[in-house]
Amino acid sequence: MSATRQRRCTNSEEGVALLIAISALLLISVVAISLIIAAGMETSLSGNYRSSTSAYYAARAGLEEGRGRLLPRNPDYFNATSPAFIPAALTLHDVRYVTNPTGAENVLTAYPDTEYDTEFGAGSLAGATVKTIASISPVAGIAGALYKWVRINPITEKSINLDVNGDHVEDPTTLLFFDGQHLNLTATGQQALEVTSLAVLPNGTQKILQYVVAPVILSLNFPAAVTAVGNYTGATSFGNQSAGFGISGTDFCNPASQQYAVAGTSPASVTNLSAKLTPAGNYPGTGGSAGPPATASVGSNAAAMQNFPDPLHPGQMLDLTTIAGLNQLVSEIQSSADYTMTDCSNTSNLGSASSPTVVMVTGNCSLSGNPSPPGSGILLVQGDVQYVDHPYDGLILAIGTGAFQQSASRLTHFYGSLVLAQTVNPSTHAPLGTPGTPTLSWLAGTGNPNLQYDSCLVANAQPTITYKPLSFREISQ
Amino acid sequence: MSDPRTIKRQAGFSLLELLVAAAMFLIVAGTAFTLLGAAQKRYQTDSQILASFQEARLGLDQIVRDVNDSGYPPPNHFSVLPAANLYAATPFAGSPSAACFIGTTCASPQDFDLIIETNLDPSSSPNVQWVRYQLPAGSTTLMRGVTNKVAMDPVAATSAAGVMVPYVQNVMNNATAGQISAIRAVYPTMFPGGAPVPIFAYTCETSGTTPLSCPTAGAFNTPQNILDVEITLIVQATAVDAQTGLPRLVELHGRGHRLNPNQ
Repeated sequence: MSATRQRRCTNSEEGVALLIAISALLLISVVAISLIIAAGMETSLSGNYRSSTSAYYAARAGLEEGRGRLLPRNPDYFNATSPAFIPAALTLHDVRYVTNPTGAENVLTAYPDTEYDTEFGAGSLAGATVKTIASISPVAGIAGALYKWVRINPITEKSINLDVNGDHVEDPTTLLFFDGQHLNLTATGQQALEVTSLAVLPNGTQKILQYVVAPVILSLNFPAAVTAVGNYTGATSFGNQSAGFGISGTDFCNPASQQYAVAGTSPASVTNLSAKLTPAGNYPGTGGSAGPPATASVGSNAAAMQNFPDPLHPGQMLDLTTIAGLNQLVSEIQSSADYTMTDCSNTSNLGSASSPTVVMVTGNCSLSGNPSPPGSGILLVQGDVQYVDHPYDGLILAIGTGAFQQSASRLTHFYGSLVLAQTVNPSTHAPLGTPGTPTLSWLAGTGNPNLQYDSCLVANAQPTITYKPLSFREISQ
Repeated sequence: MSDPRTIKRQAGFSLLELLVAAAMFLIVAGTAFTLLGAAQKRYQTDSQILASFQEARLGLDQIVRDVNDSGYPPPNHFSVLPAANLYAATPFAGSPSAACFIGTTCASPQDFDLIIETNLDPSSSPNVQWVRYQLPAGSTTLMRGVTNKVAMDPVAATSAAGVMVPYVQNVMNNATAGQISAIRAVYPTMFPGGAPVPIFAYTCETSGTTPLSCPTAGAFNTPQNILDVEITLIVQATAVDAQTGLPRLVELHGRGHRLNPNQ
């Protein structure tokens, strides 16, 4: 009996302790669990924000790789890595992918591009001509940005879901071009391309971004063998009166096209230039006849110079008969230049017909020799140009002291287009208020014509300076 | 049974022992629960504060994304321009006109008002939308509204009933002078000079290579030239600090960058 009571007593004491312990534990557990849940919620909220932002920038990285590598002057230019990867004109359903796999995954099967069929219609990707190239994002084994693929393809009205030409029909086959200001269906200007990038983060967050891009050509067309900007007073030499010297406005690569041998920008200039350009037969071009022309091909292109299309700002005009307009042109070429040099001693920068360059020379430029092939591109010289032999073709702009001189009496040639404009005082280099009188000084005339217009070389010299994004959008998924 | 030692053992604790034990337990438990109570109160106010800040952060993120996507489809995508509601004439709509000057003649965009013109989802509708963010004068609630672009003033269109809805609460950027001085007593570095802080500050694209702060951009100080929008959100938590009783604020910064061309 007493043993039973004792046992009951002991049991009762144990029970109270256990109850208190359990209830305390329960209370603490509830608080702890709610804390963990709340913290987890905070983490996932800020995690979502971080993932979304990371995916956005990863996809942007892909877009920029695609856009950047379209540019010929990019060291990782697509066609330099894989010849003919991007032909001069892509046809409908020519699809190019830049792939950026993690490890050995096949990104095009692991992350299929359903967006292409959304844009071009079901089954389009299956019938497309697809080429792939590796991304340059990973470097030396270090993983790069987390985009999976970048697609580059031409576009149609249907694919971008916009009625470009206002005919109320979304054309599914005609490729779109960009004329500098607008997309069009008439193949005017340069082909517009779509760059689409998919980024997938390890946690599964996806983002697709898209650019429509078009090349911007540094377009400079001076339709004359020599354009003498400003007020040519006759005070400086212009050309050479020997029988062996000549300037021809006959287009070398298209002889049916005739331009002025020498163009001035004011009636007084044209009159003064005409007086210098003798004998007339040495200056064929527009206005000339089949035989030696009776009068030198000299004319005014003032209207064209006053409304010169701004090479970097489509739709805007530059007045190249003013110092302000000329300086603006110089600064635009400078901003697009591959090389800026103080002289022309480093001839390796002068390019060639197969890879023309844009070179800005801030001082005098002395060119000579007969390299094969000759240098080619756009050469802007602010000092005097000393020229002999056949070292260069393309476009030479002597804007500054405005002087072009043959530096030795040897056989000398230049094909393309030459522009002379004096914007500074040649001796003090002080800026002028209006363009002064340019100089074309020649020692000996041999190998007539010495300077000849060539529209093909000029066109070839004009580089693609960028692929401009025409639009950007995020594709909701 | 008659062994006195056995009886003593069986008697358990004395009353004194029990009282001492109970008192000790009460002290320990009391301390623990007081601490727990304080922690729980602190947790509750902190989670309210966090919720306010989280809301502000999500709001900021959405503004940045809307600015990034502004201006689609741009006019350059059309050789023949369609009806005005089918393209974004300018990435940011201006009122009374897109040619107004920011800070002087523009009713929008300005320090507390921005209207983004874009097509948020071109695959679902070709109609361009206006997305407006506005902190009305005298209010601390940032409003957001989305409406289809129509042939009327964007401010008037987004002011229609039901368009603007509360988006972020307790935005103090345009607080009253009294509120600002109270905040500056706690956060001396906020509200430099005691002046309201604009939610939106704009950088404009110019003809040169360097974008300029819009008010200094001269002729380029117009809505269509806005390139970057710097966003500053100063948000006050609904609850005051549990321990000090002082207001709790956070200042968030973000920058949206327009990628579409301005014309």
